[in-house]
Amino acid sequence: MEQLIVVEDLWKTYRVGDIEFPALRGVETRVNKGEFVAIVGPSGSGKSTLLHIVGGLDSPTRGRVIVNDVDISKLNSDKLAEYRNRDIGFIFQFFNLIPYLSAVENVELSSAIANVNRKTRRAKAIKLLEVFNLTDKTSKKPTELSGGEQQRVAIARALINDPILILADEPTGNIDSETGYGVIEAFRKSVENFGTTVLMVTHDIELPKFCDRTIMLKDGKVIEEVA
Amino acid sequence: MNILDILTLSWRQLKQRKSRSILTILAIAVGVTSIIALSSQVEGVQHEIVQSLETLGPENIMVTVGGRTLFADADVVRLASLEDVAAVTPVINTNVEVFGLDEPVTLMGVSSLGIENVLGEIKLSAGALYTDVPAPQVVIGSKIAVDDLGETQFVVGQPIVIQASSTINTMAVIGILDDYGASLIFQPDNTILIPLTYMKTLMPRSGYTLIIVTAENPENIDQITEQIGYVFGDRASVTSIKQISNTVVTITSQINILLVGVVSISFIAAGLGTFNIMMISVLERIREIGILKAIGMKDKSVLTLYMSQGFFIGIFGSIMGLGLGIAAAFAIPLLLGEMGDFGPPDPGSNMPSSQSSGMGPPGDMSFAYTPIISLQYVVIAVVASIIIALLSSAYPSWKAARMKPLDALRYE
Ligand SMILES: Nc1ncnc2c1ncn2[C@@H]1O[C@H](COP(=O)(O)OP(=O)(O)O)[C@@H](O)[C@H]1O
Ligand SMILES: [Mg+2]
Repeated sequence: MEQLIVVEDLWKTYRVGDIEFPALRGVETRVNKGEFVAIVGPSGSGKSTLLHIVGGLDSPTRGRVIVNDVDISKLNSDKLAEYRNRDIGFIFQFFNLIPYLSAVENVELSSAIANVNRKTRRAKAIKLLEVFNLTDKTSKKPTELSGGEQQRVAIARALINDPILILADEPTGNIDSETGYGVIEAFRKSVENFGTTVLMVTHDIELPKFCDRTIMLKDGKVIEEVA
Repeated sequence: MNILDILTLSWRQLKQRKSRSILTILAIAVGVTSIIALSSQVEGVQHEIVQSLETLGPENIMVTVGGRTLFADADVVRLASLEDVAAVTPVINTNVEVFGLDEPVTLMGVSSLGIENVLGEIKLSAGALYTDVPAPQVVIGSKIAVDDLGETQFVVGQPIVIQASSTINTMAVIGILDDYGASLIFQPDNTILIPLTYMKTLMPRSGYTLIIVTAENPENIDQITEQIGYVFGDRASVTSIKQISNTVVTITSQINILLVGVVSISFIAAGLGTFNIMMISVLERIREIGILKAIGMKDKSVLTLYMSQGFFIGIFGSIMGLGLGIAAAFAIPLLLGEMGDFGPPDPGSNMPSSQSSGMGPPGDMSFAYTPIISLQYVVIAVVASIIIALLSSAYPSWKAARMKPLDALRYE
């Protein structure tokens, strides 16, 4: 199997005033292309931090993260932005939609940043919303949508640029379990149809069983990997 | 990200905070409005004054008495002998009472040929000019013929009774001048023109109060003015219409510079307002900026996103300011007109002696002018407001652009 992500001796130390706090202490792990991986662990164990560094939102204090043969800790801010835009699809616990844009405009936004022309991206955004059963909500603003609907819009936005890697930080944390399974199904579909790789942080003990593998973090270290 | 898409997003942000955006635009508009509205008044007044001076003839030089001695025929001859002088028009002015009128008026003795040099263009509403015979024939100003209430006092052919010095004279009105409005040097509307030859019989011992020297060519004005000054020394004060005109232009230009200076204070206020509002916009959108960056928006696109909002504010502020400014420019003279005359002073009270040079300040200040909106001030106002809007957006935009995506996302 081809490796997509290589994490080597990854450290992240946060400094608050004079106090240094190591959130990650030498994480080592590898993820193959097309894998659907769950990341679990107690609160504060560094799950989000790991996801942010892999996604190019944060930089490591030490160590290397190689994604798709690129050492992302060496990228400058513009290259990182491009990486986040084209290669990564982020999904957050709190949806993070733009409040004054409609559902379809939110989905389109990532594509607009990638300089795709209006017609093409609009058509693709509508198609994606269709896939997530949101056809009748395309012109609704985020505040007019339920939590589950918002999260589906956020997933559509994460998928519009055909990313090689989806990073989801507790995507089901703010939606009911029924909708939660829908989200998992969407990831699964993406993995099967497009060979997308998914890293999903979750607190839900039920969800890892839908994944190919589970990485368990504790105190900033990988303590167990279960297939 | 494509610039058009950034501008669209920028526009959506402005629309999301509509009332705030409009307030900022208004703040910018105030400066533009004031510059346009005020500079156009000054330019309009300047144009009016310069034009009324020009009709008096740019080639004319006014020689008025400097001391107590009036001019004699010898002085007229002397002036006529100067090089490049085309004509010399001696004039005798005196303040007189007219029976039937409350206010004293100016009686001006001038030859028929000299009238043109005095009035510039000759405009009669009725009758004709006199010829140079020593007969009691007069041409009267429009405000003497018709009083302030619109009542006709004199018509052509009617006698007019004038008290000059201590003698009472009856004369015939043979012509009535058109409305000249207020002119800076003469007030034709309140003047009675009389043949110089007849004036001399009325006031046999009087010299000339004013001599108008007409140059062959406006280019010789300065040189002739200098020569006249040399000939008369302290006896006369010599002013060319051109000089007055230049002075007026200089003064009004200075007024306009002062005005722009004063208005720039309002620009500074508008700039601070814009800065404040842009800062608030950025601060309240920190999370949003985090989202935009998380999904791959580059720093320079974020910078453009916020700078363009400043640009929109500047552009719309200018457009609104231009509209309001043009409207205000034309409304101001109407408002001033509504307020009426500025209390015309008694024309006689300006001159302690009964001999008047006719060069006193105009008795009636409510002269009409058309505001002139000059491109120069439009450009200054528009450029200034756009620069102000951009400058005051620069720091907030820069702050937004350099925010770390994760810090921004975490911001509560
Ligand atoms: N910006 C930060 N500044 C200081 N400490 C931080 C910051 N972000 C995270 N941490 C700390 O790092 C640790 C790991 O955080 P996180 O990765 O969010 O954990 P998890 O997602 O597993 O709950 C936590 O103890 C948290 O308090
Ligand atoms: Mg977390």
